[in-house]
Amino acid sequence: MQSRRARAAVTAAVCIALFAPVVLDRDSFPLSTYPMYAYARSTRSTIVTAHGVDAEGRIVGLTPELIGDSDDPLLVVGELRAALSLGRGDVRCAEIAERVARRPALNDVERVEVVSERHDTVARTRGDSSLLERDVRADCAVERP
Amino acid sequence: MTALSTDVSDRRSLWGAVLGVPAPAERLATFRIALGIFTLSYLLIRLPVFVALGDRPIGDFELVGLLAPLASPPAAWIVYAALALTIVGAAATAVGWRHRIAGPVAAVGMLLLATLRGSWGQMLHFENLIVLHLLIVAFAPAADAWSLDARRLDADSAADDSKVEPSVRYGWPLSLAGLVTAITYVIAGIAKLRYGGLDWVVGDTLRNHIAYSALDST
Repeated sequence: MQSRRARAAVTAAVCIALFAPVVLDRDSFPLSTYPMYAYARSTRSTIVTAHGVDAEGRIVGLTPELIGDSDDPLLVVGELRAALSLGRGDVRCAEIAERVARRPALNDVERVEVVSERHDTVARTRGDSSLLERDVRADCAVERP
Repeated sequence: MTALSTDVSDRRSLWGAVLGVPAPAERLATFRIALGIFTLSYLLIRLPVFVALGDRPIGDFELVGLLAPLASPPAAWIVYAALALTIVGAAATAVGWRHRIAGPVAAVGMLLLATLRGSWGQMLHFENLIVLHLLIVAFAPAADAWSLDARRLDADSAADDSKVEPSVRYGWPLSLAGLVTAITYVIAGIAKLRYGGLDWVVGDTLRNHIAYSALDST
């Protein structure tokens, strides 16, 4: 492994392996096309999230820990999006409702909604009103003993 | 003198810079220690996320990478065992204990855990370089200095002067890791032009991505 020829072979193999996903246009792990932030994106974007709803119909914000059992919002959103695309929105909604039910501070929350929301992202970043559309993808009750 | 001139000339080429630059063992050891500490810290800070991999709903699961041929996620005990082994492997890598075993354990374990984590919906591309660098260090003589392995060998050795001379053996893994890092950023740049087009250079793509990330993270 320590001869110059062996080092050259391994180095060449590593370079070929790294560029293989680019040639094949196929993202994977740990070899990747690194497509993050590459695609053109308009100022209008749709995100998925979940929130609570109280008896008056007011929306109550939920933390990433409540929505996805993690403190990483990127992970939480990614997993929620994957669950919706697999038709498991109701299952995920019930899991969120269970976590909400265990929080005394959220006793006024009666329902959980998993929603996709369309926002003007630049307006939101500026602190302006940004919500353009909201679509409820799953709806479930918070059941407490 | 002729040999020295050839050596210097060779190093001027990119290929020569990757293949033929000697380095002290301590420099590779520094990389090993930094990588081991970083990996260990990452695993401990993100421990709840990795522990949760053993108890994820199977319906949300879509394996990626080397595990893609599997039809279902591994059993929870395998995930927990891999997590424990990887943590021990990363700690052992940092201190240079049983590196020939600990290095591959940390690298393969991190590869498995990061692949599994990415199989539940969100690829985190910064994990790619952690795994690739761990794989390089795992199969390099990275514990020849500043390690428990080196201390044990020194204690066992009768030689008075056990200092390790600079060598290409220590320089090449570092150059390879640097090359991997550089290529990663080149590929990321290619992706911007390939998928986003020139709008990435002259348009609002970057602004819109930043605004979207701010929305996605709140």
